[in-house]
Amino acid sequence: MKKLYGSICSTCKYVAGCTLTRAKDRVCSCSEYVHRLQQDNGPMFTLTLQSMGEKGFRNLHEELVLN
Amino acid sequence: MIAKTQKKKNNLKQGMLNNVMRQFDNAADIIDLNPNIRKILEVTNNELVVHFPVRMDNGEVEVFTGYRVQHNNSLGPYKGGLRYHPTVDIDAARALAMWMTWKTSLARLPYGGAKGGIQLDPKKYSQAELERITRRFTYALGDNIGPELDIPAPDVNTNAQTMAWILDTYMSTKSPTERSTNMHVVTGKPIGAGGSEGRDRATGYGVFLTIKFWAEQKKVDLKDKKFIVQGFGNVGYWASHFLEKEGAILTAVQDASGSIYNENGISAEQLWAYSEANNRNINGFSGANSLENGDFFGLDCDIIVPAALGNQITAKNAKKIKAYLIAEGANGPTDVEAEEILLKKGVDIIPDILCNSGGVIGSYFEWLQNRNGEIWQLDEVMAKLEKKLKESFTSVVDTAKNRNVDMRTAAFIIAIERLEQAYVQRGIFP
Repeated sequence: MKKLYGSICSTCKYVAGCTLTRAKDRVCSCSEYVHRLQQDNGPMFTLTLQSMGEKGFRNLHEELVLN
Repeated sequence: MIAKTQKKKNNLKQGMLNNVMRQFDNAADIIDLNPNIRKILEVTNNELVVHFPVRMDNGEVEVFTGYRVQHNNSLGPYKGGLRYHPTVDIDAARALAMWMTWKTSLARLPYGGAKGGIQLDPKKYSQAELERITRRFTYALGDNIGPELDIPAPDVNTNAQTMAWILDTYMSTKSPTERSTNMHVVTGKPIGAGGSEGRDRATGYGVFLTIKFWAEQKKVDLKDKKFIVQGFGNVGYWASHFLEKEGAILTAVQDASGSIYNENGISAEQLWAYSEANNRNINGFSGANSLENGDFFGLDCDIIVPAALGNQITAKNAKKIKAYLIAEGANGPTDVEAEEILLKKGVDIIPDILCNSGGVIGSYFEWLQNRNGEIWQLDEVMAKLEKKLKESFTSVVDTAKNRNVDMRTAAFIIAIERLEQAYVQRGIFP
């Protein structure tokens, strides 16, 4: 595959099958971007403001207070 | 071979900076910007590069490179995202920092522009390592960031969790009496850790609002108007959600997995639920038929919301566009040639710098709440966002009319004139 030196597509999980653009060599922001880590390493990058929910935020807050 | 590769990398980064500079120069020429102020705005104020060691899970130490570029702070503290990606370097940070200066200025926020991040591929690190990397980077940045100096926010590969780590680390470096006065050192925090209600939908709601303001101004009723959306992430979904509530009909959506179409309407809620359950892909949604990707922008509709990535509307597909309004939810979705074609055809374009500014305005509200010890309800946040965006939209429309320029040029003129005014009034030290 063509090297994507200056593009966030280089680490996007959709890079192989993405139908949005063929010019993947200079993308610096994309709402569809999902880092491959989401598949590989678990929850870190699946944690969004939306998906985390009130309970998650509360737990996180408690951890911060304890620290 | 190595030299060739480096040259290509540099060209790409230069391209990004050139785009930002071209838009700046265009507006600066029109307003005949004071040459001395042009000199100031053409360069960044501060550029910080930090190398910091972090112990990995296997006991070995790795040294990382982090960046923070602070372009301009004549209107207030620097503001901009932190991204974790292999492409992060000083040139990319410069271009994106400059872009933030124009954006915050246009939105009449008391902020300047900044950008930064760490050059790494998060895939290679565990969550514990990423936490240590984030905390060590925050420590390395030290007092180069601060709630009244430079306020980072999430960007590519960083999120509410990353901001919570930065906040916790930054606060830990302060004396106990000062700690709680530093909550606003970052925005985009989890709600329980000082984040704001409504921050998740702020950009998409902003896109919707600018469309609504445009419709009011043109005396167009949004009810039954057909719209299509490229990108069904946070921005695309929330913009669709609010447009649908206004009576408009979502007829087509395109994302990384493909394009779908239903002339009778696609339910944004149902599509969002399907996408969430389907690895964030819309392809295969039963409420619509699949569509050739190349046919997407040429669909018969009234409004196009490109909310995915840059350079999507080009000279190649601009001629086929039937919509009369393009609302740029993404950054730079319309290229220069396409814009010329569209403007000649009489298509209105709500420029990205205005259209997607709801996000940074939402960040400002989070910062204000932390700074004043307040917690606003969702409806309060949304009402304030509407007021702020209305102000920006009206000034762009008025400037476009008075100067006989398109909305994008008008937006840049306003942003640059506001900075110029600050320098003229304050003078230059000493």
